Amino acid sequence: MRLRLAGLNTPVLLEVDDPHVATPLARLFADLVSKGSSPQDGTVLKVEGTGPWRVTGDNRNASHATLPATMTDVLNAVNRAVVARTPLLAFHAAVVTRHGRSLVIPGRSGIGKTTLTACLLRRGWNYVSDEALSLEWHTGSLVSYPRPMALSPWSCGAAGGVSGVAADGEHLLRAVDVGADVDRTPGPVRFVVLPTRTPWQEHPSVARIDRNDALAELLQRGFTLHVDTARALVLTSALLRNSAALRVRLGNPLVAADVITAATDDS
Amino acid sequence: MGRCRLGPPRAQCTVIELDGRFSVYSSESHTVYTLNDSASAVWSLLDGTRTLDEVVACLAETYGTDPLELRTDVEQLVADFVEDRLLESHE
Repeated sequence: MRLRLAGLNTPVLLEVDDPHVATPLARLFADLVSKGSSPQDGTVLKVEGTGPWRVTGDNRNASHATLPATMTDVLNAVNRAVVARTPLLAFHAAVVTRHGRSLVIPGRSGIGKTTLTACLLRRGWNYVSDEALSLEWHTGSLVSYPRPMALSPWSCGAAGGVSGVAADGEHLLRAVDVGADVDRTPGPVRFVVLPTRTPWQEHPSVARIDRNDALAELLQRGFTLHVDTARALVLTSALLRNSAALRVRLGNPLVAADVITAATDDS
Repeated sequence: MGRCRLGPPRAQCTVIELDGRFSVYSSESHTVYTLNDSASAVWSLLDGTRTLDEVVACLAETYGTDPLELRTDVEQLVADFVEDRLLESHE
């Protein structure tokens, strides 16, 4: 099976031998399937064999004895390929939308972006990405990157008991798996949320913070800042001028999603 | 430094302002400098039209402070800006 994908405006061709791998991958990557031009110049990734499975392409050659490990590797390989080649200004951040307004959660891996994203989706937000805030360099317009989300068993529980395709110590899910839609034309950014992990028992809280703190956080999380740092600074500051910057103490992330939803609905 | 005019920012610098605070990117050093409130207050006056004495006087008036208390800190800050090649130097 050949899956033509596009993420962050970057084509990837995924070729899979084994139907037992191809079927769940086709479903997982359905939101990234390219309906446009052929990705002739894109990255080619292959999943070869019927167990063990070998993931090759893009300077990668790894063998996996289990399906879950193969799933995780393919997700990561596709992500690495598009992040490395994207023609967009991209930051490490999750993005969701509601009522035409985008909310951005920048942060390093492990801070809880995907867990909070899944919880916000369960509370009626739409999915843009759990990985990248991506902007057109010329216009500053947002570009959707609805890759599958990877949630640990703990995060699945925290999000209210969701589940997806079993992967390596995690579950892979699409927005539809948590009852949410993908927003392919996200509206302008109006909120930038900096999450802080706090004990589960602590009631979540939201407080306005200096927008320069959000600027500093975003600049630290730039995937492609180096391409044109001056332009990136101008675009990022313009984005923040129209946004509120919020610090969220998470506690229980599903309750935090309620608190964020109420706070942003009031703004 | 007291009588020469300070600034403006070098052409190689991109300057943005957000809520009264400045961030400056130097394409020479490939560095983004994020200025705090007091550095931003000084930076906002370094447009090439004022001397150090005038900058200090302006800040002293704005913050109701003795110019003598401010002068050393402002002078050092401006020297840092020049050393980091963020400002045109007239020396």
